[in-house]
Amino acid sequence: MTEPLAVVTCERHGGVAVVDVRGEIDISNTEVVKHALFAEIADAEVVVLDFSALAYADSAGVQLVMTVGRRLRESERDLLVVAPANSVAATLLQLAPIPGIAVAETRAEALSLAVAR
Amino acid sequence: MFLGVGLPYAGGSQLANSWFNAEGAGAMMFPSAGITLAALVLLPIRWWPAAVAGAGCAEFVVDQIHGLTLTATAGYTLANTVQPVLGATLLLLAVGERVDISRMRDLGAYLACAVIAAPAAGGAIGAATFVLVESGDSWFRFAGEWWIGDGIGMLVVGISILAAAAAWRRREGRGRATETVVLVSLAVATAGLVFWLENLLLAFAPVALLLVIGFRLGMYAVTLSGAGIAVAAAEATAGGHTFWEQLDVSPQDGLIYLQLVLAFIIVTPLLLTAALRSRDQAVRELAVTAKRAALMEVSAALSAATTEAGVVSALEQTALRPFGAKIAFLAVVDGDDIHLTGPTVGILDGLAAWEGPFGQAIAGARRVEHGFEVVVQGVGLGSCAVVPLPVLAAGPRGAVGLGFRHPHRLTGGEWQRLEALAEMTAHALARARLLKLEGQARRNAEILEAHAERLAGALTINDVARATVAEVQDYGIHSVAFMRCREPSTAEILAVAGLEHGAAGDETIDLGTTGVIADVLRSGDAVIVQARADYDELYPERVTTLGELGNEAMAVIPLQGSGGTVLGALYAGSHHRFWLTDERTAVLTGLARQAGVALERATLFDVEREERDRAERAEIRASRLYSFTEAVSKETDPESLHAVLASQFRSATGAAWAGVFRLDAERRTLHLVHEDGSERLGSPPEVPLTATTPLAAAVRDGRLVASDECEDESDLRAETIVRSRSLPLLSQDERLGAVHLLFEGPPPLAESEPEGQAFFEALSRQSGLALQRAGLIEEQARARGRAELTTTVLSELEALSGVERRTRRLVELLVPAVADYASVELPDERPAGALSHRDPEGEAILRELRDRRLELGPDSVIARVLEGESRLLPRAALPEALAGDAADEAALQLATSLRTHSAMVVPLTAGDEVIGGLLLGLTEAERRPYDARDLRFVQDLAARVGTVVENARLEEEDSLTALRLQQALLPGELPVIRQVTIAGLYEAAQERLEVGGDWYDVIDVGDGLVAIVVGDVVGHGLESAIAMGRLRTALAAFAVSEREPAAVLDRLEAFAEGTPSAHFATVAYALLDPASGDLRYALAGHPPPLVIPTVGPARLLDDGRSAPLCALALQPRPVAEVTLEPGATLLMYTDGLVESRRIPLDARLRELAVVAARERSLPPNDLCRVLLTALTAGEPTDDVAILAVRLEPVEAPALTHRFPAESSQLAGARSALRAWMDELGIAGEARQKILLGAGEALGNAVEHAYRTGRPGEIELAARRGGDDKVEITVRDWGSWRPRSDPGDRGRGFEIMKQLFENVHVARDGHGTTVTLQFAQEPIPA
Repeated sequence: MTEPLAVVTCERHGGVAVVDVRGEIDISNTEVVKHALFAEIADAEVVVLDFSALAYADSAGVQLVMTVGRRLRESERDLLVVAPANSVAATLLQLAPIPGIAVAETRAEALSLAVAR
Repeated sequence: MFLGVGLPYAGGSQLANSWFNAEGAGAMMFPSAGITLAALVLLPIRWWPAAVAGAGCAEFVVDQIHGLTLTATAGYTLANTVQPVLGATLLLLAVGERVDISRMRDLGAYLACAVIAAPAAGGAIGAATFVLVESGDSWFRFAGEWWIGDGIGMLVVGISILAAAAAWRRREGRGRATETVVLVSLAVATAGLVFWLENLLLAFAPVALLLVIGFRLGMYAVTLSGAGIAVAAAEATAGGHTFWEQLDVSPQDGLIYLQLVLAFIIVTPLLLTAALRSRDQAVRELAVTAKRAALMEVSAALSAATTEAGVVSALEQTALRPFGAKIAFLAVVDGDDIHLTGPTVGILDGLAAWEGPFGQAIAGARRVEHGFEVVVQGVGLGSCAVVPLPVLAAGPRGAVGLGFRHPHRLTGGEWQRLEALAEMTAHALARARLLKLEGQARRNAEILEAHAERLAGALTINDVARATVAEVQDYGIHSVAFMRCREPSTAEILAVAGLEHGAAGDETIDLGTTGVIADVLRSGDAVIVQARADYDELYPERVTTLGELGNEAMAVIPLQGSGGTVLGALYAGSHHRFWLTDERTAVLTGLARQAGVALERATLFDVEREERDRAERAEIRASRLYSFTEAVSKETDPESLHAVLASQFRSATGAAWAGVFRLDAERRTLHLVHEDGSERLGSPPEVPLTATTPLAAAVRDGRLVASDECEDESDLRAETIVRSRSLPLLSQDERLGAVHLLFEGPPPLAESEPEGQAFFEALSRQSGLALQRAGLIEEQARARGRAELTTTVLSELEALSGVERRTRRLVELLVPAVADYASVELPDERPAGALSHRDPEGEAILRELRDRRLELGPDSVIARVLEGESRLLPRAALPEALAGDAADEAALQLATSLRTHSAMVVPLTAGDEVIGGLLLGLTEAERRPYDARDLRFVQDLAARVGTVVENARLEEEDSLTALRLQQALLPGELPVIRQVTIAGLYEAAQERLEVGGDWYDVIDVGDGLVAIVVGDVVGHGLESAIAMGRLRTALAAFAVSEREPAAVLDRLEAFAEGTPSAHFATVAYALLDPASGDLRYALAGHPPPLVIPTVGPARLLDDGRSAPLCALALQPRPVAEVTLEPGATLLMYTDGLVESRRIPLDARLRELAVVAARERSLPPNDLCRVLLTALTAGEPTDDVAILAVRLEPVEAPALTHRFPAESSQLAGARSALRAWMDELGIAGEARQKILLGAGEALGNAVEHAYRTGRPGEIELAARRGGDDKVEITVRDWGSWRPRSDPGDRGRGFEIMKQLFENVHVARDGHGTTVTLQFAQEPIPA
């Protein structure tokens, strides 16, 4: 089997789960990424999705973020997305904005926002 | 008597003799004559001989003593006996009755007969004797002296004796003895003085005195005085005191004068006294007559009185006057009391007491006089006199009394008359009583007769009871109760009047054992109580309250039938004590006797009528049961049967409303499936079996439950009292449901009797049987339908290939045949599987729900079914079960919005292996929920379908493996060779989805040369594919090492020798120099390639032909050469493209050439596709490989990248695009945007182009035009069935539109091309 298209890793900062998603997201791996994500964030209070190292994502990725956001909202949890300027994620979110999701440019900014909540 | 007369006679005679010798004038009077006469008058005649004999003997003896001769003695004796006898006889003859000397008439008669006639006769005989015997000289003188002397004796002595006797008899002078003695003595003394003084003139003085005596004392005193005067005169004369000397007469004459004066002195007062006496008598008799007349009036009035009141009235009107009374009383004894009638009864209460005068009179049977000490105010009674009534047989005991204003003592006569009045009154009362009794007897007879008539018209026992009660009430009874007793301890009150006991009819009273009614019923004897006190004494511990209804007297009389059987009792009560006299009791008894017999008759009549009614009801029931059974048994469809049951139950039982309920599969709730009847009535549509309603109870207990008061108000939409009957519907012992019947009145056909109960049970049983039969028929029909469905499903599924097609068809067939929606889940093929819902909206919900379930992982009911568990989902938790255990709120809402009311999950099995799950759900309310039978059926079907699906899966897996192998063996990415555009196409045989051994290959052999290969291994399947793979690999190696096409083929043939399945493979091998267009080719048994120039017809390259590999060909393989002009296309293909059973190969090849020339402007890949479609109608019977190679001028490099439409290939496509952009130097933001836009288009195509049918390929092309615009083309050959939710695609599309200057989507018959044009300048934000 070839290398996975996307790699999901997670760091915990107390109740904040910082999930680093790198690689590519398309319809072939949204399910896999989603299950991986859900596994990581099951007990987190705030989730930060760090897309800094994301090489590619399309509307499947947007759908994925929306699903995660909806799931977290239902359990009254927050979702923050890290998308540096001119990054793939930034471009994508610019083209297909996701209502109700906070976007930070850096992970640090996202963490401070997360702690503030 | 002899002596009684004789001795006085002798005395008188001696007295007279003593007087004879005085003065010589003879005796002035002879007293003995008066004695004898008086004795004879007073004595009865039978004593006369003795008296006469006494007188005669005395005379005889006296005469003998005086020395008379015997003859003279005899003569004088004769004269003195004849004389009194003659006088007495004449007197008695003249008077004719008892002589009352005080009467004038009797006195006259006495003077005539005794004083004159009798002495004359005696004188005649005496004178005759004197003359004849004694030789007397003067007869006349002697006779005259005799006559006067005896006459005076008669006058003085005889009359005295008679007057004294009368006075004695009449009690005259009683108490007046002193006065009598004084006056008589005075008179005698006066007379004596007169005679003594010899003054004749004074001789009248005694007369006056005698007159006074006569007035005051009556006759006896006058006569007594007369006698005294006579004796005095005689004594005086005898003493010599004579007055005749003064007259100068002889003594004899003087004596006569004296005698005459004496007679005058005596007779005159006698006569005056007699006259006075007679007048008094007349006056007295007049008064007596008047009183008698008054009594007669009373008598007449009493006789006319016919009633007791009439008697009283007669007394008051007539009896007062004769007595001078003021008030008349009548006292009558009634029982122990004395009833006193009269106007003053209320005031004089004491009179009626037994101690009072009336009581004393009655009790003592004596006269009572009663004086009132105080004159009673207002009435003015001073006294009263009471005499008892004589006791007569028919009359009452009693007394009559008279009241007087002043104290009054009654005389003897008044008492006698009062007693006479009492006697008359007694008779009148007795008569009135008898009359009354007679009248009562007549009335009683009339009452009984009238009652008999009324009873004759009374048919029922209630009629009898009412008639009797009315009659008894009319008779004057205050309270009546008519009781029927069918057992000793209870009485049924059939009719009642005047009792506060409540309405008669249904009431039954418990009699106990000690009450009066119980006694009467037991003994058969009537009990008559005259007073409440007696009742209390008789029944101190009574249990009935009948005696306490204001009644004083009561009778309880048994009602007896003809045989003396006690059938009941009649109670009669009166407010009056002693009202129930013997007579009234007799009448009541008579009424009761009549009523008893009538009751017996009516009872028989009732029994008879009841029997008749019962028989009629039985007949009606039988006929209704027949119609019911007939109607119900005709119906076999359960739905229609419910309707028929409801209407038939109504008509059979007469119910106003009938509802048929069925028990649900879980046996928990009764559901109303059909109702019939009045809209005002009804019942809740669902009744839990645990409810307390009659309906639920009927099903629980399996019996008829009747309720005459609907407690459950929801049972009632009407305001009338509704009665219900609930019947279970049973099939053998299985509870199917119930029928609820509502009646607005008492149910007809008297279901209380056993037959009525049986009738309902029979209806219930018949219904149960019909339902069972219909159920069986329905079950059969369903089983048949299911068998047909199974057959249809299996045959249709087997005709289809592929798991997806089969599962899709499966759910299509199941909806709506057995479910409103169906879903198949195959774990291995996710997200494949199929679902179907009867309406699109529901299908969208179902899909969304499934996607969510899939998102959530293996916690759903579907996941569990994959472990082999099949079950009916519990209704209560359907949404949860459908959404999955870990469902979120939204999923639950989705599941709820499906409105499923019954669902099941069943595993799809193949052998022992579970390959998937089948979910079936019902949403339509009218569909019957799934039960265990449905579950079994679906299980069975799922097992068989599972096998079919599994087979499809295995086949698919097989061919997919082959296909994949083949595709793996085919060049995944043809080499990019400058100036040449290459497109390859492989299409497996559509019919069997079987891969064959066709292949193509393009090999860069170096030196600028390109080897182009198309081959075909004989046969199909995996083995052929493997052989093909080996040949291809080998050939690729040989093509590089050998330049000569024939040598390459020879080496390939040698290689194929060791691979039997590669024998007879055909190969077309060509070596192209793109720079020059020179082409060298050799065909080992292969169809000729086609050259399509840019202009002019296409031509077949049919040189260089040799035998297939390993076909034992001996000749060397020829090689042909041709030069392709720029823009020309070389088309190589396998025989699947042109093979046809019906059309010769030449014609097919010409057709190919024509089509290829026509479509030459198409890019090579399109050309391949178009040719395939045109020549095989898109569905080749054999597999086909086509390879098109176009020689093109060298321009800016363009990208063409084809890949299978799988998401896993997307990354590769993006890599190709990145490499192309690297080559062209496209970087930065433009590069990112192009990549994103193209990625969206590619993703869309992968996801949607091949949603139906087999996955195909996608081609990505990119080129840069002269104006530096980049054009990206994404091409597919799919059908693009869009997702129901356009969200994702829409979003992707929006992104593309923002990124690219121009986005164009073109769809033709083969597929879709998306063209994106991108200006390299950054797009303004």
